Formats: sequence, C-alpha cells, structure tokens
Amino acid sequence: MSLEELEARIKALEDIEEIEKLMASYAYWVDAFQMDDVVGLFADNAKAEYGMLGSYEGKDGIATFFKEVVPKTQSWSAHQLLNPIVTVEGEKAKGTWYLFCPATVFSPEGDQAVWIQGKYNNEFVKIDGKWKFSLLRFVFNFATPYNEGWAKIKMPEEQGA
Amino acid sequence: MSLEELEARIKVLEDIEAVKRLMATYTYLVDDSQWNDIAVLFADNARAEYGMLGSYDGKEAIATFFKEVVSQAWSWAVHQLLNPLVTVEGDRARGRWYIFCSSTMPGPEGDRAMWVQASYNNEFVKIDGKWKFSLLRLAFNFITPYEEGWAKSGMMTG
Repeated sequence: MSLEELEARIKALEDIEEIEKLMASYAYWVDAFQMDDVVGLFADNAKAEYGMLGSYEGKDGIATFFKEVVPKTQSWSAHQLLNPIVTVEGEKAKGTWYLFCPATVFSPEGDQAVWIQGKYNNEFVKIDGKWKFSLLRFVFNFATPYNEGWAKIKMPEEQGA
Repeated sequence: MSLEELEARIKVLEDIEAVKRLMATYTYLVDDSQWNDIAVLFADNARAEYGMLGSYDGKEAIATFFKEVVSQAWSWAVHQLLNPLVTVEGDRARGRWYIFCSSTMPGPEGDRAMWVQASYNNEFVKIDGKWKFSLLRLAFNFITPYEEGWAKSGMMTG
C-alpha cells in the first residue's frame, strides 16, 4: 500500500462527499429561490429532465425553468433528500436519491399543500476541480394534494378526471 | 502515523460508505420489486425479522417472503431511509436507520395510501470483500392509513 494508493482512496471518499454536498446545496437553494446559485451548479451543456415539467438544455434553458416555471408553480417547498447512492469514476459520477418534498402550489383558491415524491438519477462531471451536474433526471412518483393522498391522486392531471 | 494506520482509518470510512450503499440498494430493489436481486444482498444463512410479518431464515426464505408476502400486502412503496448510524468492527458491522415510507396497500375499495414508520437494527458481514446482511431486524412503529394518522390507527396490516 503506497501513499499514492491511499490518496486515491481518500479522493474517492471526498468525491462522494462533495457530490452529496452539491445535491444538498441544490435542494437548499431551490427552496430559498436562489436561482442564480442553482444554475451555477450545472455544467454549461448540462441537461435537466423534470418529467411533466419538461426538459431543459444548457444553462440558459435550465435558468428559464428555475426563474420562470418554478416560481409560477410553487410558493414554497422543502426538497428533502434520502437514500443517496453515489458512484464515482474518475471525473464522472452518477448519483441516485429519493425526494420527499412537502410544498405549496398556487391554485385558484390560494396556496394548496402538496406532497411530492420522486427519484433522481443524476450524472456529474468534475470541471476545474469542481463537481457540476451534467444531467439532472427527476422522475415523479406522485405530486398529490395533501387532502387527497397518493392513492387517490398520483399526479395533478388526474385531478377531476 | 504509519501507512498501515492510515489505511486502517480509510478502510473504516469505506466500510461505512459500503454498508450505507448496501442499505440504500436494498430499498431501491424492494421498491422496484426486484425480488431476485434482493436475495443477493443477504448472506446465505442470514436472518430477517419483520415484526408481525414474521421471521425468515436463509436467503431463499427471505426472497420468498418478498415474493409471497410483501408483494401481496403492498402494491407500491418508497422506503425512505433516515438517521444512519453505522458501526464497523473488522468484517462485522451494525447499522441503525429510521424508515419513513409512503406506500399503497390493495383493499376492497382499491389501493389505499398508507404511512409506514419503523426502525432497522441490522447486522452485516463482509464475505469475500463484499458486505451482506447477516441480520435484518425491522420494528414497526406504525402502519396507518393516510386519512387516519398514527394516533387513531397505529397498526394495520391491510
């Protein structure tokens, strides 16, 4: 066991920690509507896929989503991250998380409490020593009004159906 | 500080990470109904204790539990893990977690939304360099219909 081998093993642990921090920063900043900071977490040519909320390419496209779509959809959220699995290979990485998110969305009757649950399958790239999102892929399991629950209404378009 | 001492400290951190990853892999496989892959996460002579849902010895019995009991009782679930506390000693480890699970159970009037909260007190063993469950012990705190809540209806098996 050489010093170089040990350093490589420490680096692998550090990279996992940094990617979990990147993902947590994303969550805190989205919830604080610090959208410039959120966009700064993405690589220039990154892609973000948000299921029914659309897919967005490049920092400009992703900025449009966070500055124009998200603030018109929800007034408050807490992106709670769970079950991280991060796998690093050199300057690339993959990460899976669950999201369990209480939120309030705008409705004609005022703010409405909703539960959101889904899964992230993200990819990361290290650029100039800093990890960035190269792909953010979110798959909704449910986005349900608090008063209904995920068995009655899984996703908004089912409402009133 | 010798290289050997540093290596031992790095190994503990790697083992904690590997055990957490094993536990997260377990949850994703259960939630995706990948019953055959779940058995691989258990040592051959592992034991799984699921409270009122019974105890199972050996990885085959554990796989059968998922195929025959879990798949009947639940139509959907997300096993959300919290508060990991992993302690490693050589090729053995222990790990505690909370689980907060939204799920649906089939019922006479269709699927019903359920909250499940429980605590894991698991044991792990490293076999040929890979961590496996030697004991999975789950203690339910509540399984309650979404509309009722855990004070009115603490335990319900569907």
